[in-house]
Amino acid sequence: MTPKLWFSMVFLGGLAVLGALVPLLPFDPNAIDPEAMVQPPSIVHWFGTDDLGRDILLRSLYGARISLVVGLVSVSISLMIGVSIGLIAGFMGGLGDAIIMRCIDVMMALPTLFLILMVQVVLEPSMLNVMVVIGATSWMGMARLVRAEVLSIKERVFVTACRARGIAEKTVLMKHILPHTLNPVIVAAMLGMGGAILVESVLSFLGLGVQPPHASWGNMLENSLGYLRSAPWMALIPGVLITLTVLSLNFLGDGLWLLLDPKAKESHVKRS
Amino acid sequence: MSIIAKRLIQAIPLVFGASFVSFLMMHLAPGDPTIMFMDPSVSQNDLDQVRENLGLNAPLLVQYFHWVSALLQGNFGYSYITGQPVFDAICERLPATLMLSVASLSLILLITFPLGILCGYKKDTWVDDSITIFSFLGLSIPTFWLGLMFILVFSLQLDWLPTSGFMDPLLRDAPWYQQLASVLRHMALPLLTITVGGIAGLIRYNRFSMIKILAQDYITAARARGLSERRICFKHALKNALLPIITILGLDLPSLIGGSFIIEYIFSWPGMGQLGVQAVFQRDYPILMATIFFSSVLIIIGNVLADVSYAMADPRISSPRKGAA
Repeated sequence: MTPKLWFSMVFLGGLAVLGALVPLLPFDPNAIDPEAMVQPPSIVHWFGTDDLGRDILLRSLYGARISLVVGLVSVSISLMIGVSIGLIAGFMGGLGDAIIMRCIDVMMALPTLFLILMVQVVLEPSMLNVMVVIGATSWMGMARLVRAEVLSIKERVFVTACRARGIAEKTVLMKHILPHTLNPVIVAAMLGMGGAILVESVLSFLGLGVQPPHASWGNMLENSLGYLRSAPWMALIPGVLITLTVLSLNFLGDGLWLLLDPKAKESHVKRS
Repeated sequence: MSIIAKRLIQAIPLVFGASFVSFLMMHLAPGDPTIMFMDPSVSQNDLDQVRENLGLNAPLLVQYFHWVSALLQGNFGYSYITGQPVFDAICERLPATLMLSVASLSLILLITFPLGILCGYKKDTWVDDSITIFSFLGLSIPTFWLGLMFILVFSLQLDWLPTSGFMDPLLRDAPWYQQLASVLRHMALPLLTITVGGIAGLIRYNRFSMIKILAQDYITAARARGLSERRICFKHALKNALLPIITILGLDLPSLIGGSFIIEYIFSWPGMGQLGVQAVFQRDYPILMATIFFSSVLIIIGNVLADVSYAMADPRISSPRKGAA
């Protein structure tokens, strides 16, 4: 356990616990207070208040709920798509593999952010759409990773042994090959979750993600635009929170990789 | 067949694939651009006429075929909003985008190589640790927020640089060197933002690549022959460490280009990114399709260039790598 890992676990754990408990408090994050508009951080409002007098600490914690949920769900979606496609492509080989890989090449050449923006503007922007769209446009790296793993595992002796014992192909794939691909997948999932949180913040910042009055870090930043000079804390706090959350996830991914993969120390290269 | 020709041929289906996806995306969308003309004074007949004129009534594949064949003649259609030819709109914006991306790419390379290699060479020292922490931080900061912070510090607080735009409009008739100076001042903040974001990822690749090379037998052999550390580092290790970076750079292009689009929007830099984001808000499909298509083509060209230069730099590769992933 390195200091980086400790920092990440404590930060993410704290954020998750606070985010889970905050709705139990008798405070409304959307409560407008005309008496306390645009106040700098103070003892009453630790992170200050925004242009409508709403408490930024409270809104940040509600924003944490959004970011963590969006991160988790979109990564699960991209995991499901990426792992299945990677498994199929790697196991099948030949023409099918070639076709799938070319499709992935096409997907990877597209500017994903624009596709996501496009979908969001066409459908009603909602949290569910945000998660599905991010998941559906971020699985390609995962698929490539799993495919590469499967290609090398397929050649190992134990797979030949399985076949020799007459185990069905499907069982070989699901029971014997899939578990061996999990370590790199877990690492990629951590990095992917950070990526998803970043994309969500961009979407909400552009007004195409989580809709006001619901607080998300991205739309809090959008809200801060007119007050950059007069109330810099409104822009500062959500940005720092996004950075620390994504940083923790990246540290976690990196640290887990070193823990899970004994060979990682030699070939320590970021995978995503 | 030479590698260059092979790579180019492989890129053609990619370009078509990208064009089809960008076309499909726009047309599966339920949003209808004729909504724009929805005002009570327009009759249903006129509305149908507008749909017919815009070619929105034909079957999807027919529309795609029309689009591609027009596209091959350099006709990308017309903007739904301004009526301007899309090709002109894109070409107007391309120089600003290319200017920003070429400048940031060069800056990123100039900074990452020495730092990454220093990192790899000084593995596990405080130099390495601090650069690594910095690169993690750079990977985690939302670039658009970093841009806002730069505006806050350098424009609003210190008043050193302009917040947005391309050139001071008062300088329209000024001599070219004054105009150039103004453009450079406007470019400084977006450039800085993109560069900080881009450096972070690449430094780590450089570091790992250097560490891997330094662990190889031929470096030990060079040490055993009593060559100076400097000579080993710069003459023997560096060249080989640079090779994999070329590929990584190609793979990183989409995120670099995608990231710079948001930055263009934040700083009102008149490039393709800003055009595209505006088109999203206005549902200007022809512009949007062209933006997506053009940026895909930029990315594909970047990847082909990376592959080709890799093949030319590495004598071990005489045929494309098999199963490269």
